[in-house]
Amino acid sequence: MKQKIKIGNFEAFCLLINLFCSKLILDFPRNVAEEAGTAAWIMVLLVSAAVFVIFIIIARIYKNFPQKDILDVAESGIGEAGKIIAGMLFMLQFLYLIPIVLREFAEDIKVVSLTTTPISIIIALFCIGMLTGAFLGIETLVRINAMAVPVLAAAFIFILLLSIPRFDLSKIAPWLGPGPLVIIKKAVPNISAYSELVALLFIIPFLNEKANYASIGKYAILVSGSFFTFSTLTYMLVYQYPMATEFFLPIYQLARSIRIGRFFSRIEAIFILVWASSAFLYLSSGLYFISYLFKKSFGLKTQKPLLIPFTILIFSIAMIPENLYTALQLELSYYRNYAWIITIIVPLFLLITASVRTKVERRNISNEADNK
Amino acid sequence: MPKLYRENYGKTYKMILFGGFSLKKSMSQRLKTIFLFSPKEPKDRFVLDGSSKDQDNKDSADTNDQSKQGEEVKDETRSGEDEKRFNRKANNEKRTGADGIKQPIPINEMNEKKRERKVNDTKALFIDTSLNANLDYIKARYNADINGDFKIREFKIIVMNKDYPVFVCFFDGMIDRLLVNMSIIQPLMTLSAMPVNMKDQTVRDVVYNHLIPQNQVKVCKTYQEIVDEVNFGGLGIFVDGLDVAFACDVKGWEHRNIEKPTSELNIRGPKESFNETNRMNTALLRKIIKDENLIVEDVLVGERSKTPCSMVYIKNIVNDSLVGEVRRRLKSIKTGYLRDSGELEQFLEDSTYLPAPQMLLTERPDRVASYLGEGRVGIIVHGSPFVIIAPVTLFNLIHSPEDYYLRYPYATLLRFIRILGVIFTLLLPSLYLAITNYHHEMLPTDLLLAIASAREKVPFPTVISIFIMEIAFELIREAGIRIPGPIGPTLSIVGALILGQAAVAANLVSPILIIIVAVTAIGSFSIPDFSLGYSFRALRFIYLLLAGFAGLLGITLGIFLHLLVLVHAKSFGVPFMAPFAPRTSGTRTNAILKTPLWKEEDRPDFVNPKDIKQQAHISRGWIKRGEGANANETEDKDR
Repeated sequence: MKQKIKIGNFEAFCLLINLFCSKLILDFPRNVAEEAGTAAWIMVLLVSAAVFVIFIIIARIYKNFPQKDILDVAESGIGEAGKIIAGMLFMLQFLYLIPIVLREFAEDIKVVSLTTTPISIIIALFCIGMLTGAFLGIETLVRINAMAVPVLAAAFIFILLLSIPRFDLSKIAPWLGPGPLVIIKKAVPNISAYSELVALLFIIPFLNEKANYASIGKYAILVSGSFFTFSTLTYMLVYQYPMATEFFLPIYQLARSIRIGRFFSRIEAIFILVWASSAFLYLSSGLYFISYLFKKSFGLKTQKPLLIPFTILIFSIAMIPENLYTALQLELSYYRNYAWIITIIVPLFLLITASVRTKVERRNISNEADNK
Repeated sequence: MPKLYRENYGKTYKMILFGGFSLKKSMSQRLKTIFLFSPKEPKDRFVLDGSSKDQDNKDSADTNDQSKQGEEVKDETRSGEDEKRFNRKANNEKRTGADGIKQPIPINEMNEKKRERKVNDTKALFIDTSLNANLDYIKARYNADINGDFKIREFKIIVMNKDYPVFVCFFDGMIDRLLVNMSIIQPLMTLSAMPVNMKDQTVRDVVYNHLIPQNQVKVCKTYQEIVDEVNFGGLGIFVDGLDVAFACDVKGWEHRNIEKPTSELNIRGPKESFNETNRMNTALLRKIIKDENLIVEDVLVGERSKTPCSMVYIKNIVNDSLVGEVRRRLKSIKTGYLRDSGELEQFLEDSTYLPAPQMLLTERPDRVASYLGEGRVGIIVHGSPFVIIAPVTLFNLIHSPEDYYLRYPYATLLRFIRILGVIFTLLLPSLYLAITNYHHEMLPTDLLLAIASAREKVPFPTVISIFIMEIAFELIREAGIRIPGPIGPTLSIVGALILGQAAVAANLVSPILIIIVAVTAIGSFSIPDFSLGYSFRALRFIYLLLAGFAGLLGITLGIFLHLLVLVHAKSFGVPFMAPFAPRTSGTRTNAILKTPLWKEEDRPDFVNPKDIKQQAHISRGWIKRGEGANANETEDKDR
């Protein structure tokens, strides 16, 4: 008997939180500091608000397509070809993102703790976890997310709270950094920070309470927006602007600077566990979505046989960048600048097309009925 | 290259490369052949010596021979079937007259066939009216001439002034001798002579109604029924002229008395434990749950051992589909012998390779009663003092029965300590290894210096010394269980010397490592479930390997994979990590932390009980004041 996948509201919420926030561990605070200087946290706030508004629009249009995922919507809007093209677009953006993030996680681990281990071994270890997670399915993954994310979030908040003694308000002056116009201009490509929001549009058919997808998305954006903003703010309050652009792992640096008495001076140890756990969850979900999108686009019966080939592909792509700097450049220069077009604009376009087509079809049917 | 040589060459090449595996087999099939028991493949047909040569020639001549041979076998089977079909057709034709109308089979021929069928099928063999025939059959069936403990006693009874030869049969040692003498044989011999109003009564009725003063008498029509009863400590009574036999329940074998639990010790709470007798165990449960809805459903498991197993559940609480699933699994088991609930557990569990038990085995009746009250099912196996509880979650396995008898603050503290024990067992040695090998910066400087100076003289890498110590400890633990009692203290002295002093004195390991191994061992003893303790003990070595290989990253990978497998697992359809993964909506949170007893209002909702409410919203009636009392009653009804 085929088992039906069921995902609870909290589980879906935790999945989204981890997908959004794992980049906090990597380089997010530093990147926004580079772009908006001392006003980085304001830019993050603006980006989160913008994504919130865009999601409300998406959710409103989505009401016309209950119980359908975005690929079904693409099919009803543009037809079979539309489903395949949209599926491939989403899949390719994940296939670009996941190996880069994998490489970044591996490189960071290598720099921090496994200095003599070859990078291929570290990537292979991540691949084992990623493959097993994706193999056991989305239901297991979201359940682990629901168990782990509250713990990881608590550890993260713990690190932020313990940084309070080192806060210095003067470090975020001038408050508006390079100026409001520059902030707004730089905020647009940074919408890509929420590019994983598209994952919610794939799991709608699996939700226990399908009507709740909008509130799941809204809460996830709110909570992760708060995480983004507060962690950037904390980072900027502890390290002044020019210095803040130097550290390659901002939150790790923040954790390293924490000291509680003489004995507890190495809090960053907790951070490595949080870091690796978040990476495993993120990468497993990513691999699952890659294979799911491929399966769904081409109408395959099962996705498990796809997992090993995709893992090998991800491993191989992750080995392409020469070093951490190249991987970061591949992410920042290309992915973060343009990913929002695929993950935010394309779904909007698909939804609008499908809505228009549905309305036209309905009108035609009612006209035909009137004529008869 | 000639065809014959080429194909043989290819065959040998394949054999060398794949160790006999066929290239055509997929990877998963090959893995299955290594790790799983494959279904028996049909053996090659027996070939006479004369024709074996031809067979060999055939094999070497053509690689496709096997498939051809397979086809031949199939053809022959088919031809055999055809032959049977032909004979059947011929018989039908015989019976069909020239005009095509079927002729009736003569009654003699039909009776003959029936008799033949009965003789072949011992289960359907009916008891004969002739006592001698029955005696011969029973003697033959039980090999009475060589079976020393099988006893037959022949005597006569008088019914309606007529002598009837009778014999009883039983296994000596399995029955209660006094009961047989006083309540079976004596009444049959003496009461039969007493004047009783036997008007309009058959011999069978007289024997059944007046001559066997026993509370459990079964009237058996087939030999199989009586044999089953006798095999399980019953007594068979055969009377001349009757086509039935009587089976009396006179079980009286030696057994252990009710004793204190040996593996689930406690200070507070009842101190009775199950023993090896099925009915005594069910009685212990009935003694606690005085409820007519407590159902004890018997199922026999084991084709030869016919071990009586009892499913116990409270009918108006447990989910019917859960009972159905347990019944389905129990009845589907096909094995020769079932000796213990540990064996049954392995037949019933959802996943064989999961590194955690998916059922709870307990020897405490109070614990079983408590789980039955939550809507779970218990399985009692005759011959085992451990009762199976299903379904369970991981959190049930780290609960102790004493948690329920202790006050809330103490029980909560104990739960914390136990969880700490689990973490120590699994992770402490691997964390030590990871920190000393890869992440020195994690330790405060003073502690780091202390560890470094202690390890200065040790020649082995940490990973080797920790494996030496862990294996030594496991050896001592295993030996401690197997060793005869009087030698026990010697072992502990040797163990303490090896582990404690000599290893450090010889600079084989550092003193800190001894502390790590000792704390790990103590942690493992704090796990209340024996089976879960084994699981964590084994997994500890995997974590050690991962930590030795990749430090904290390896440990995180291990935790991630471990959690993945546990979250994916199910126990009789119930997620193993419920109520956390998936989150269930019940108000009862007695999973990790203990809730105050008065707050445990609902049964765990992941077992889907028929009645979710376990106790009233205000369970302490004395706390009701004024109008609140009425309000709470209304609330109770609403719930």
